[in-house]
Amino acid sequence: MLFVAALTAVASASVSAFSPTELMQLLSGVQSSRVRFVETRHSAMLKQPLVLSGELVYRRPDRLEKHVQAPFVETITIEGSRVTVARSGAEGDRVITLPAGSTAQALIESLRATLAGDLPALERHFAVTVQGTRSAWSMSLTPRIALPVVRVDFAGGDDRIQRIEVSESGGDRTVTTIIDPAR
Amino acid sequence: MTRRGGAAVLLWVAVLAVSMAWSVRRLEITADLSAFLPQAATTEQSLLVAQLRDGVASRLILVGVQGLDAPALARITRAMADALAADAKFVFVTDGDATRLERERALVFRWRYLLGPSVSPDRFTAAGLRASLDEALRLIASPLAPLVKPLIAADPTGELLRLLPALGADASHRSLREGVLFSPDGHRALLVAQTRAPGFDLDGQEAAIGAVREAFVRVAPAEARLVMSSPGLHAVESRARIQRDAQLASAMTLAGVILLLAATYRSPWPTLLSAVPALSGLALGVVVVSIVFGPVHAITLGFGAMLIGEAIDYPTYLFANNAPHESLVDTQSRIGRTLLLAVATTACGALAMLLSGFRGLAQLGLLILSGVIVAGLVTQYVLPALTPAGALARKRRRPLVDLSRVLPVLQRSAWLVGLAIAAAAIVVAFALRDGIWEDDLANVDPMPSATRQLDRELREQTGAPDVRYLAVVSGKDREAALVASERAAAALDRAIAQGSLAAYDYAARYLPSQSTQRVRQAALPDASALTSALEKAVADLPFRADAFAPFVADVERMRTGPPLVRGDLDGTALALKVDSLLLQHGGRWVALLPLNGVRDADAIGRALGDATLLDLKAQADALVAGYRDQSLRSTLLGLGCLVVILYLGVRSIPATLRLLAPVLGAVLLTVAALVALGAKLTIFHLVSLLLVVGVGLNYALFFGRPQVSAEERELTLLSVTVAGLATLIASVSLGLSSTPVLQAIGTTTGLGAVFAFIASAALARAR
Repeated sequence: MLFVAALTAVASASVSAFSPTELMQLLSGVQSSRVRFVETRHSAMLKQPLVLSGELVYRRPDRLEKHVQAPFVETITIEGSRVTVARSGAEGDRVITLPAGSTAQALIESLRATLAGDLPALERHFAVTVQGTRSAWSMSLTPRIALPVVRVDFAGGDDRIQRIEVSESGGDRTVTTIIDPAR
Repeated sequence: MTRRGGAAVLLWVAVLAVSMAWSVRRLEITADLSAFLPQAATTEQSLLVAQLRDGVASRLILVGVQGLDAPALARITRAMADALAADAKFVFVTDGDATRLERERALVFRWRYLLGPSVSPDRFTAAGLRASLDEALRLIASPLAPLVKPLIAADPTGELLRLLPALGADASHRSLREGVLFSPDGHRALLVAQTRAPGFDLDGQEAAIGAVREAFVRVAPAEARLVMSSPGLHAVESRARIQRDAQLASAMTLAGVILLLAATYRSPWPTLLSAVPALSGLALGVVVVSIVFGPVHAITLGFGAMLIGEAIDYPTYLFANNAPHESLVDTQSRIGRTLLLAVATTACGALAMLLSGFRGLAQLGLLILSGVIVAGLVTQYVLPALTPAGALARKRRRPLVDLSRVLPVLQRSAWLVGLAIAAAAIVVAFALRDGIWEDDLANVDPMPSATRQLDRELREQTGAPDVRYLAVVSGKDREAALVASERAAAALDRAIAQGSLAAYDYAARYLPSQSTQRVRQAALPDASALTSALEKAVADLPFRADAFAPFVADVERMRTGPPLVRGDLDGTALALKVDSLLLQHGGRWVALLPLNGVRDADAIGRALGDATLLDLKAQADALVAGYRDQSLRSTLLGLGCLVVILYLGVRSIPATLRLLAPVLGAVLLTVAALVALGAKLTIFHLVSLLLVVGVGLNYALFFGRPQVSAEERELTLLSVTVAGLATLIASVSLGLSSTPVLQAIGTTTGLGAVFAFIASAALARAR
C-alpha cells in the first residue's frame, strides 16, 4: 500500500514536472500587464532596508515601465536597449543606451526576457532551472557571464510572476513582491 | 671627333654616370602636397600650415558602412572596431560603444576631483552632499543598482557622470542603434579611427586606410558598402593621381616628341640624338633638385614632361638648321650664340619659380633651370662630337606641318596680330580690375564635390570637429599656455551663454593647469571634515555614513597627492588629444581651442580679448594672396634678368625691344585667352607665363636672326615649328591631366607656345 502510494506520488510528480520551456510558453502568452509592486532593498550601504512601491507595466515584446510612487516619484522606461529615466521636477528625461553585450544589458535582460518568455535570450546570459508545478513554480537564473549578481529567483503561479529576488555578490539583495489586482 | 669634342663627351659621360648612380642610391620621391603650400610669413600662418599638415582633424578617418539592415551593419562596425583597435596603426578607434573607453574612463575616474570644473568647497558641505545623496539613493533603488553600487560608494557626488560627456564617452548627443554609432536615419553605421601616423605622413595614412579596407572586407558581405573620409584619404588619392598623371604626361611627351622628330628627320640618328640633351638635362636636373631639396616631388617629375618639351628645342635648332653639306660643327658655330642666348633666357624664366615661396614650385624651377642649362651645353658641345658625319645630310627634312605658306600670310598680317594683342591688353586690364586671381587655397588641391558632401555628412553624423575656427593662446611653457587657455575657455563659456558659439574643446579639459588643480585640491575638505559632513548629510537618509568610505579615501588621496601631469595620460586616447591641442611651436607652447558651431565670429573675437581667434580659411586665403604678391615680384625679377641677358646677347636696344614685343604680346594673348576660358589665375599660371616668355623668346630669337637665303629661312621655320610642336605636345600632355596644378601649367604653356609662335613669326622678322 505504502509502495503504491509512493508510486503514485512519483507518477504524479513526473506528470506535473514543469520544464523551463513550458514556463516560458506560459509567460509568452501574456501580451501586457499592469501590476503593483513593493520592492525591498537590503544593502550594506543602508542603515535600514529601502522600500519602494509603485506600478510595473509590461507590453510585449520589450517595453517595461517601472513607475516608482514612493518614497520618491520616478519612471524608468526600458525599451530594447534604451533606458529612459523621467522624474518630476527634472528638466528633461535622461536617456541611456545600454551597449549590446554589456553587463547592464544582461541584468535588464534577466527581467525582460522572463516577462517575454524568451528562453533563448535568457540562456544567453544565464543558466535556467525551474522547479515546482505549473500552478506554483520557481525559476532560478545563475549568470554564465561575469555579473555582480549571484542569482535571480522568480516565483509565481501559471502566467503570473509573484516574487523576484536579486541576490548580489556582496550579500545585498532586493526582493520585489508583485500584487496583481486583476486576479 | 675633335680634341675638344672628345673631352666634352668624356665629361658628359662621367657626369651622367655619377648622377645615374646617385639617382639609383639616393633619389627619394614624395607626393606630399603640402610642399605646394606656401611657406608662412606670420606665426598664425605657420600654425595654419602646421595644422593642415598635422592638425587636430588630419589624423581622423571617418568610416561609414551601409547597404544592410541595422543589426548587420552594427555587427560589421563592431568587428571592424575590434580589429582596428588591436592594430598598432591606430591610437584610438570608436564605434560608439562606451565599453571601448574603459581606460579613459578609469583615468577620469581616478582624477575626478582634479578634472571636474564643478569641484568647489560647497559641494562637500553637509548641505551639498545631501543634495548629491538624494540622487544616489535613486540610483541605489534602480534596476542597475548592482552595477552602480561601487560607483556610488566612491563617487556619491557624481563627478564621473558629469565628466564623461565632455570626454565624448557619453554618446547621448549622437545617434546610437544596437549600441553603436549610427546616422540618424539608421542606414549607416559609423566608426571613427585616429591614426598613429601624422596627417602629412602619406605612407602611414595609406597603410591605415588600407587596414580599414581590409578589416571591412574580412567581415562584410558583398552587399555592404564602405564609405570613408579623411584628409589623409584625400591626400593619398591625390598622390596616386599626381604620380599617375606625372608619369603619363612624361611618357606621352617623350613618345609624342620622338614621333614628331622621326616624322621630321625620317632617320633614326637625329631622332635619337635629339633626345640626348633632353634626357641628360632631366637626369642631371633631378639629381640637382634632390641634392638641394632632398625628396623630389612627384609633380616636379611631372614637369619632366615640360623640360623634355623645351630641351628638345636645342638639338632641333641645331639639326634643323644644319644645311645640306654643312658640318654640324659649322652649324653650331653659326647658330651657337643664338642657341646659348635661348638657353639663358629660358633659364631666367625658371628663376621666378626657383625664388618662389612654394617648396614644390622652387623644385620645378630648379629642375627647369638646371635641366635646360645641361641640355643647352650638351647640344652645344657634346652633340656635334657624337653625331656621325653624314648622319644628317642624307635626308630631306620636312616638318610634320608645313607652315611655309602660312608664314608669309602671318608676316603680312602683322597689323592684325598687333590689333589682337592690343585687344588682349584691354581684356587683361579689365580682368585685373575685376579680380583675376584665385585666392582659395582649397583650389590648389580641390576635393570633388561628392567627396566634400560625404565628408560633411560623416563629420556631422560622427560629431567630429570641422576645424575652421580656432582660438589660440600661447605661453612660455606648457603651464603658461594651459593657464591662458583656461582664461580663454572662460570667455568662450560666456560666448556659449550668449549664443554665439555651440561648443569648443581644449587641452585643459583633460589636463588642467597645475594652478587650477591646486585650487581644486584646496577646495577638497580633509578626511575628518568630510566624514562629519557626511554624517550630517545621511542623518535623515537610509544611507550608512560609513558606506562612503571609498569616497572619503579618494578625496583625501587627491587632496594630498600630486596633481595630474601629462605623463599620467599615456596609454589613453586622451594623451593624443592633449598633444594635438597643446603643442610646441616656434619655441613657445601653443594651446588650440577648436570651436564648433560658430554663429558670430566677431562676438567671439571680442569676448576672447587678448587670445587670437584664428579663421583658418581666411588665413589660408590671405596666405595665398600674400604669396602671389611675392611671386609677382619674383616673376618681374625673372623678366628683368631675361631682358638684361637678351640685351647682352644682341647689344642693341631696338633689337631687344623687337624680340620682346612678340613675346610680351603672347603673354597678353595667353592671359586674355585664360580669362575667356573662365579660369581664375593661380600662382601656377603666373610662373608658367614666365616660362612662356622664355620659350617665346627662343622663337623670336630664331625668327629674328638675320637670314640671307631662302634656304636658311626655310630651315629656321622648320626648326621653330618643330620646337613649337614639341612644347605643344608637352603642354597638352600636362593639360590633359586631372591634377589642377599640372593642368594650369599645361594650359598656360600650351596657349603661350601657340601665341608666341604666331606673334614671333608675324612680328620678329629680321630687318
